Amino acid sequence: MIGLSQYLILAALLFCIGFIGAVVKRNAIAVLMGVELMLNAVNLNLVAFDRFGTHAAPLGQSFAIFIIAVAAAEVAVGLAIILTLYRHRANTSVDDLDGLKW
Amino acid sequence: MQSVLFYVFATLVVLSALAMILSRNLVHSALYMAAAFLGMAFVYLLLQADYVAVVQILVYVGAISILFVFGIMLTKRERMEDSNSFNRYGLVAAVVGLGVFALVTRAILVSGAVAALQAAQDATQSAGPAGSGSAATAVSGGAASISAMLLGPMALPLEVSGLLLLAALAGAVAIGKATRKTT
Repeated sequence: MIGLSQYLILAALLFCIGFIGAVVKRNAIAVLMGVELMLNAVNLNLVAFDRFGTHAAPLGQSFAIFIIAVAAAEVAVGLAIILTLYRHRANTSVDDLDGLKW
Repeated sequence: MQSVLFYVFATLVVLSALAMILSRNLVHSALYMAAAFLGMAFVYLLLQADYVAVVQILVYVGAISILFVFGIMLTKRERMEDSNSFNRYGLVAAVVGLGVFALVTRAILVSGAVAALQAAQDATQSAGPAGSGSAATAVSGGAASISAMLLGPMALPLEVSGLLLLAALAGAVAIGKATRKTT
């Protein structure tokens, strides 16, 4: 029987895979993909606690809907920034985008 | 049956996520990301969250994956085979990530709160078929109760998230347009 802890462990595994992907990748688009995977893992946590929680109202699923909306907004703005950087510098490697570092 | 389906979909999601990380071709990464999101939608269905599963397919698999593919297309490289390489922190990131996973997994397994929630769920499930109150809990995850939630007590956050989406739309257009003027 699949319980709450299995879903939580799956979410933790996805979060860590997303974290590794966000940290080790050179391409800014791939970094954004890792961040999306981490957001999805958090959503899985919320929905799992909603399913196994004692609350009658679907609070966790409503939070998941809001997080999906915020993630969509984040991807739109993030990809617009990456496209702008690409137009200026002709690459999307995060190693070269150190203009704020000195 | 449900546990078999859970392990099938969990394996699909985890393997797709790993392939997304390990693939060196950015287009393949986007494809594996869409597969992982689709598998997550099936996991949501197993959790009886049908509305969240449909929204996941609509927004993540439909919109966000297409947005990523457009982003990859517009920032095209000469050679797609090496478009998604790793930086020099691969080993450190793997150690930190797996360490965090081990710590969180141990915390989940020894947590009293998780065990208490699981025990309460098991108790209501074993008492459920006998009592007539199980019908009310069975439909609590449906779209009707979520709409009552979103348009009732969460009406203000819903409007604010609509405003956020509008601001993100305007911001994305402004960021994309300003540079075209200057270059």
